[in-house]
Amino acid sequence: MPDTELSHVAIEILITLARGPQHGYAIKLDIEERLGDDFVLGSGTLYQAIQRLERRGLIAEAAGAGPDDRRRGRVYRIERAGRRALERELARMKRVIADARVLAPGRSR
Amino acid sequence: MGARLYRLLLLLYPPGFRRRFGQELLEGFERDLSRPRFAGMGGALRFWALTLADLARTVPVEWLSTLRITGAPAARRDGLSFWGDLRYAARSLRKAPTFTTVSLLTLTLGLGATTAIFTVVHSVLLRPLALPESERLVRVYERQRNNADARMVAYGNYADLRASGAFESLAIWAFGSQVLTGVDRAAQLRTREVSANFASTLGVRPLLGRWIVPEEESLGEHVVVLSHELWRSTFGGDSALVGRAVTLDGEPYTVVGVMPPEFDYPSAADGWVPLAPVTNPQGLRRWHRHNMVGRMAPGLTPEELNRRIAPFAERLAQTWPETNADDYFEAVGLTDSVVRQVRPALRILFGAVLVLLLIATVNLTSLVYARAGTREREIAVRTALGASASRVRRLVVAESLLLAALGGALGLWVASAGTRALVAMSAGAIPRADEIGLSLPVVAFTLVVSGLTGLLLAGITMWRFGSRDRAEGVAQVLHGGRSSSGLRAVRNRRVLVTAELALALVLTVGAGLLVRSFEALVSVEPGVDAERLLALDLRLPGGSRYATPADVARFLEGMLPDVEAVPGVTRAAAMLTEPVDNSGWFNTLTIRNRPVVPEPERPWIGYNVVSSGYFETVGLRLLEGRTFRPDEPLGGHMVGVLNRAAAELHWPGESPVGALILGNLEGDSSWVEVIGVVENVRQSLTEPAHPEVYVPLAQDRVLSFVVLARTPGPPAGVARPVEAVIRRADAEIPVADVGPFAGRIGDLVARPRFSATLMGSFAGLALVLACVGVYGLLALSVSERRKQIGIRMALGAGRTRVLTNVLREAATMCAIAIAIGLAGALAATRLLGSLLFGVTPTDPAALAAAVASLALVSAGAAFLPARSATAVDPASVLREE
Repeated sequence: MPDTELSHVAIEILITLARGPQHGYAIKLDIEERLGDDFVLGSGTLYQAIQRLERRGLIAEAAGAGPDDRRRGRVYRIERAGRRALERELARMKRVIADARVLAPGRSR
Repeated sequence: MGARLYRLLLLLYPPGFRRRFGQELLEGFERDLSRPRFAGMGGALRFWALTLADLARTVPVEWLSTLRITGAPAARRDGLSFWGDLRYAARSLRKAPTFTTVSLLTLTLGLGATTAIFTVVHSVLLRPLALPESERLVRVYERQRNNADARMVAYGNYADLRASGAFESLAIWAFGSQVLTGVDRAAQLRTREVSANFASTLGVRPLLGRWIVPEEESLGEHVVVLSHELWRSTFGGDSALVGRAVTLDGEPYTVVGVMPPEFDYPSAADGWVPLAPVTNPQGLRRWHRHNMVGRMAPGLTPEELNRRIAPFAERLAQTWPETNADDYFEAVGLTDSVVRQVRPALRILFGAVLVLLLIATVNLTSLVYARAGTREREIAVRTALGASASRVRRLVVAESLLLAALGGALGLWVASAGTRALVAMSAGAIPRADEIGLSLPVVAFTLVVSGLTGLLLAGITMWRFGSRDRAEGVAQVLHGGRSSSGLRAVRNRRVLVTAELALALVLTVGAGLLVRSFEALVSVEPGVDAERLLALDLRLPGGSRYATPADVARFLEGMLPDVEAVPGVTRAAAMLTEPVDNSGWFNTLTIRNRPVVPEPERPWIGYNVVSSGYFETVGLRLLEGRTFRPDEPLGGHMVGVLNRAAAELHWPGESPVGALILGNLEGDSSWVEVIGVVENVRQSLTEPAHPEVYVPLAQDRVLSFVVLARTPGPPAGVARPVEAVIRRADAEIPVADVGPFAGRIGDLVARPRFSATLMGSFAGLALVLACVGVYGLLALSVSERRKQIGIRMALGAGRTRVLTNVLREAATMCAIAIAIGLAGALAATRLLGSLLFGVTPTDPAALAAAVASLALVSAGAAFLPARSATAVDPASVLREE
């Protein structure tokens, strides 16, 4: 599996889906809430990232209903490969933060 | 509503992405819009800004990832992207210089020629004239049912038609010619007499000053509007010229305006003067000297307009039965009237160039096909090493597209140079020549054609690869060295090459026919020895010196002996209309003491005003009676000489000498006595001589003449001395267009020469391409069969036998191509129709020549492969096994 980076949006999508399958719009709302601060996620950006994640096999369409199933629309769920990729990614970020703490003590969050 | 707009914007995405997520994007849009954070005007604006930014960010990215043409994950470090493919394609093309050069050359020639012709076709035939709403402009002719040539208009009919209100605007003009003096060099101007509404009808306004006003038209005032070119070249673009006077025909004319550049309608006009209305009641409906141009009401076509004014023409016919009984009006679109004559030729040439492009494409296909074959090994190795089928395809497709793109760009460059050469070569054969140039539609055309070619090439290549089971093919290629389908490839290519040869034959036959037509046209016996005549135009200024025809006659008959005294000149004459020039005057023919024929049915007779030396200068044999003397007509006794056609037509079996003609039947003294009959001289290259009468200079008022001087040697040598004689006689007479008379005939055949030359070039190119195609095929065939040849030779077949085999292969292809090509040519050359003169579409000489060229080309192409076949060394071939 080639070691390629995930974009920020992709990581956020994986985080959202790690908690359970969701509709596309619900993913968007979730991310916006999490990032807060008036952040708006463009629909085009969202679905572009979803397409990429699908193609790499990290997420997939879920047959069956999600929590918001009164609207017709696709529900996405995270795949095992996606969970692994997310874990790798989070591990990498922790390492980066740890290194940063070493280099610049006292400037941690 | 906003949602509809967003839906439209979604069209910016690639179709795949749109289909997949379009619905969800739309729903997301609508749901977002109803959120509290985007409420109100400010919120909606902010939301739209964010949405547009989102689109701007994601649309290009999505298109780029689509162009990666991959089903595999578009991983960033894949190594191959669209641009990477192109770089690879460029590299692999560089590694095959022969293929690349030949293909590029073929593409450039084919696309370049096609674009050049299309440029001409588009600029001349397709683009509307550079006048506002030019589709509403029409030329209006006054036609007569008993005279197919009649087109010109009588003033009275124009006035009535204009008053009828059928046109939004109707203007009238006439050709004129006036001498400009008071400048460095007296010049003969092409002036046009026009009505005051001429400019407004066409929709043009002067650059400086103003146009003619109606009062100036009705009073016939001496004002003039100059053309931009004349203003620039003769008056140095002096803007203070407006309001000053210039001298035309000895009279002062006030310059009231200057027209914008590039406007010189009609016919390269130098200036426009008011048309004095015709008041003579006799002439109002009898003198057909004018031309009409009009602007139709919006939404009409010329055909509809013609239907509407037909009843009006009938009313005129009833009101004026003597003059208008057979008249009707015909409106023709202005652009149409300008380009009508050249349209057939251009269409044919465009068809021919498309055939050439087809041949080039077939050639290219053959080449690409062959190249795909030679790269099998490379592809097989790559495949064995793990390249996916799609990536392999991508590489090959990129190559084809790159080739086509380069070919298109080079072709465009060749076309722009080629177009300039074409226009120069046409030497006036093409109207609107100054409007020809590259433009957006032309560039778009080239892009489309080269794009299609590229796709075709790519398609061929992919078909070549996809048709086999890959794994089996790979193994075979790696082990066998040659694929078993090599011979199948030869067979397929043979079909292509035969098609090429057949198409080349069609073009060659067409070219042969046009060349033969041209030859027939120029070898028409014009009835005059054109090589030994010097011709020039001169225009006597109006004014007191040449006030009466007698003054003119005295001057010219006095000057012509001085011209004859120039060493190298034997005879000289002045005339209204030169031989072979088909634009002479006509008169209705009346004959005294014959039953009266109603006016509309009277026959027409050509009418030429000539000096006494005309007949000897031109070389017309006297058949009966005598020609006139320099001092005739004497005492008001008018005389004339008929040509043989007139005598035979109207006095069959008897002599016309002594008859009285051309008079007014009401018994006035305008009768002309026939004093002689001379041999015919042609008035046109394509038609037999028509009846004509010649009258002396003093008998009619003419100021513009052609002077012909007979020279036993080359005419160019006496040009300057003759001009000097004329200038000595009167320095204010402008002399123009001095040169051998043969040159003027040359201008008449400019268009057929142009068509023949161009078609000949296409045929030549087609034969070259076909030759290359045959060579390539035979070379491949020989190399495929080296083993066979080697074995045969080892078993005793002589070199001659091998040679004949190769030649027989070529001959078979050639024979089939000839059969198909002849059939095609017989069908296609019928389209040449009006371009042919003196030859039928099935002219045996042209067909034979074409077949012979094809045979020669095939034999020539077969030479090298045949020789290399005989050079095969059986021993080494067997050893290879």
